[in-house]
Amino acid sequence: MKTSNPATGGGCPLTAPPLYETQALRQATGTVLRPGGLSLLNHALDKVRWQAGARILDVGCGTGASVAWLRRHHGLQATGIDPSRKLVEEARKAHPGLPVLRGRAESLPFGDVSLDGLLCECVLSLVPDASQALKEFYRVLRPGGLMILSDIYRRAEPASDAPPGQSCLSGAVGKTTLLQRLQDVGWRVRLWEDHSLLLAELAGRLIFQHGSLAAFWRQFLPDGAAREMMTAVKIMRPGYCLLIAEKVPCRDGEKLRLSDAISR
Amino acid sequence: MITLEEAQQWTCDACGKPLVMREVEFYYLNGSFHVNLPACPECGLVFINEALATGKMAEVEGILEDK
Repeated sequence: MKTSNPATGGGCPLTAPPLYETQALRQATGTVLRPGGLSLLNHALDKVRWQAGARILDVGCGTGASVAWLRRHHGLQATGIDPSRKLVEEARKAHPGLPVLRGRAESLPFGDVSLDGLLCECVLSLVPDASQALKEFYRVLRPGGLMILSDIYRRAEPASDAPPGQSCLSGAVGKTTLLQRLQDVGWRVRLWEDHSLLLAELAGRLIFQHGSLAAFWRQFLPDGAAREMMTAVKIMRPGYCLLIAEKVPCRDGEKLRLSDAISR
Repeated sequence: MITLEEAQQWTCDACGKPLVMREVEFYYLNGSFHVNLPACPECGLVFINEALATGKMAEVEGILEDK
């Protein structure tokens, strides 16, 4: 549950300092800063079966935990990108030599069809122009390349009573909207799984650590806004999803390369 | 959360040992949580006070039960 802004590099305006820089969140998530830690990533890797040496980009890599994991344990040629100077510096310090860059999700400094795979974990809901980001992801991936995307989503639509401020919760959309955005760009969704229990577990850890979710939010929001947040969250019923999408080849006759491992 | 000082005021009735703070793992509806709680250093029995049971644990249960 990161609150950095992958598009602008600025911190969440709700927070000073940004939520992702606080021990409050780190204690609950570790350095991965998202529900599920590396376990959900490993689950997704089993599905995509990227070959060793494949060129993978982690968009919104944060402290570089996933990038380091992909390189060390899967032999992937992984690179990370994040707009946060602080997180990129932390990644480089924690993992010397790790290729992590500063950059925006909507404007990736990579050439067309230059990557084999892409990761975007608990980040898209923070991007102001998610559709543009999805277009960029599509542009840099080779035809048939796969994207692993996990994010908070609204289990109750339509998107009314959004939580206050700008955070991954306020930027979350429903399943229908998310799938439509992917389809509009040309992505073909190969897998959708609900992992809302991971978000519930994270909420549970925050409760045990801070006394209640209200107490957690009051650290970052004025009392009234914290109450508003709690009400809005109850209405939107946030969940957590994992999806795998494929860059469908252009209409020039290129053949699909689908992984047998991916189930619908 | 119960402090170490508060925990040491309690004694395990079965073992006679003062409680110590220990990391405990909760399981509930497929969710698991690591929490520091007072426990008997001898038999491992964990002490959950009323505030924890009716406060944090109730809130966590509500979330896991998707209420």
